[in-house]
Amino acid sequence: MRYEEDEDGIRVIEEYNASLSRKVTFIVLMTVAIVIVICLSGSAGGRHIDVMSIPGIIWDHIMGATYQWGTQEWWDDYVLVQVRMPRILISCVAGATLAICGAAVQSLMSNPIASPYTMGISSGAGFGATLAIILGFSLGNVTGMYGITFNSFVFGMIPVVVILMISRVVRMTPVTLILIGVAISQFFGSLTSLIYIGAEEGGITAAYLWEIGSIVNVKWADLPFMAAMLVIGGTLLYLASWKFNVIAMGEDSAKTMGVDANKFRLITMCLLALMTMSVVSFVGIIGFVGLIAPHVVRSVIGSDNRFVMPASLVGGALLLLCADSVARLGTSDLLPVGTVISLIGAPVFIYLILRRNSQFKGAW
Amino acid sequence: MLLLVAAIATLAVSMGVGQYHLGLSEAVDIIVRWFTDGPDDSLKEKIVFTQRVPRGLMALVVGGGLAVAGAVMQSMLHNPLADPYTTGVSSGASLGAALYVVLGIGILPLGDTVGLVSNAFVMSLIPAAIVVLLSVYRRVTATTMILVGIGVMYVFSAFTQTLKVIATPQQMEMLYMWQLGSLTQCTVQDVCAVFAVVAVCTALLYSLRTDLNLLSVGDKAAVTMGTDPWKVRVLCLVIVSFMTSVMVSFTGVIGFVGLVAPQMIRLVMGSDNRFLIPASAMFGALFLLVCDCLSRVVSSVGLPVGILTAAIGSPIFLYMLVKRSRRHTI
Repeated sequence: MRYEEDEDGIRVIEEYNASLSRKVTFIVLMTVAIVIVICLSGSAGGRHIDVMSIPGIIWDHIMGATYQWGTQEWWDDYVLVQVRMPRILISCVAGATLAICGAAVQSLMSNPIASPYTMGISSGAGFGATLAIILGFSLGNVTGMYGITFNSFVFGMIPVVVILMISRVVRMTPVTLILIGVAISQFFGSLTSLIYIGAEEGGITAAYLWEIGSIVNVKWADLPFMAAMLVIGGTLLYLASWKFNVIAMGEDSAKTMGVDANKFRLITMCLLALMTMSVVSFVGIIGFVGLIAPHVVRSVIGSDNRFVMPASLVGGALLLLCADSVARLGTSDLLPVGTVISLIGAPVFIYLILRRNSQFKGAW
Repeated sequence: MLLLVAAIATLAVSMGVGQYHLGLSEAVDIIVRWFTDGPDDSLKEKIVFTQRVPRGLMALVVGGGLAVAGAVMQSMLHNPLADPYTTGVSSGASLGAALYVVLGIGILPLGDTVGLVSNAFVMSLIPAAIVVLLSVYRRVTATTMILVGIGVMYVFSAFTQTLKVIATPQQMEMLYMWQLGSLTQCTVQDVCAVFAVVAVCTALLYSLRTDLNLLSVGDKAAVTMGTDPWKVRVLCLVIVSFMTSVMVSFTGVIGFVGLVAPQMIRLVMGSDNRFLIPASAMFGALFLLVCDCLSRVVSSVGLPVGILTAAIGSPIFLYMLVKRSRRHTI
């Protein structure tokens, strides 16, 4: 307690509390923003529903209110709950998952431009799913939706294994990691194109929409698996977030703190691949969410993973929700959400490169 | 030398392989007779000269060119994974092709037949141009060069995606075919054009071999020896991009040749660019030719050769990367 009597000490503690409350405020503000955007996005579209009435409609629906078929209320309820809400919620969950994966992989690899997309995990998973969708080929004896999921997991693990294998024997620079990701994406990309060429003509466009990520044809049934993965994975990552901090300080200090960096990396990467594929197998390959959201978050609240993780989660949800709303309302679904995100995300990537974030200076 | 012999032998074999089966000796016989007696318009001769010869030669030229481009990029950027394709050229070319196929826009007013080729060519120069422009304002390091290339690649693929969304299925199929890379549609004129460009560019790059050696030792060492690393880098980048753009616009994206061939050679003969460049060219030519033959043997329809180079090249590449760089930071 002597420390607190020291005037400097008091100032430090005050500053810490101030920054702590700033971080919490940031997260809360973003959560509020999500709720607002959900309402706005829910109200707009082919049928206009009053913004203020949206929470009421949802509440009534949850409470089990029923309406007579064809009435004003029935239509409002139907459009909102059956048509718009699955899409809105799935974009939130998908965005949150991708963003938290991005945040985790960035601190794990001490690399500000790593993400499941830039590392090729998404394209591996995409190839697996394409195999299942178009050729009906699945590893193992599972078919249907689980076949797709299983396939995309297995193929999504290939880039992970490759990257971990290489990083085991060499000290990999961020640039190399990204180049490997590009090469892997190219590899799976060419295989995927090959499958498309063999496919029936009409199938190509449909499958392609999936390849670049689109949240147009989603149903309530798609949500539970994704949400469950997010809850489980997110909780695990959050519980382990102090380990991420320790590893970011270097492998030697991690060892001193009792964290086996290699083992932790392996387990976490498996978890991340699992989470990524849970998103990819439903909505396709959506890039850059895992890159933009954690970056913006870090620039506001610093790089303490205990806060970066939840904040990225919320930020990613907000980002993808907005992007999907833009795709739905701004371009009337002409552009899939994956394209909208890429058009925003690719310039951000260049900006990140040119700016060379100072927290990662050592790694560059 | 061994490689050269192997390449010629494979070329001969490749003449015989294909949908219309010809014996090896028969094919060689036809070519020899063509040189001694002049043309005699038989069907077999037509097949050999309109199909097999251009294709085989194109494989040699493009394989060699890609391998040289890869070798030079790797030396100058200190990274065994650098390759004109991984750093943006292919994405530019794809966007150019998509612009032509989907929107029918030809950037250069050259008419329909060369529309796709010229589009791909112009667009594929852009990533390099951006890097060069950027380096005028500030002295970019090797790392920035790679990353900016990748960044431009992401931007371009976002645009290509947008175009593909509005494409019809037929257009999509055409684009996919092009993106996979194939040697099927080349004529003797194409081969001559590409060969001229590749030969000149390779000669230019070869003349820079000592500078490249200095660069791969390190920028500081290069400065001490009186070489300006930045100048060499920009010069090489321009030449390499030009050469690759020409190749990619004729054949589509054939990946991994530029990564695998130089890596293989480095493993055997070390990284001295005086030997690395010619040896990579030979090996690359051989590699692509073998892949092309395989693609004709494996399926009669003709599996795109880009698939085979990727499927064969990537595991080899990975293995060598791990084996070679155990001691290094990459």
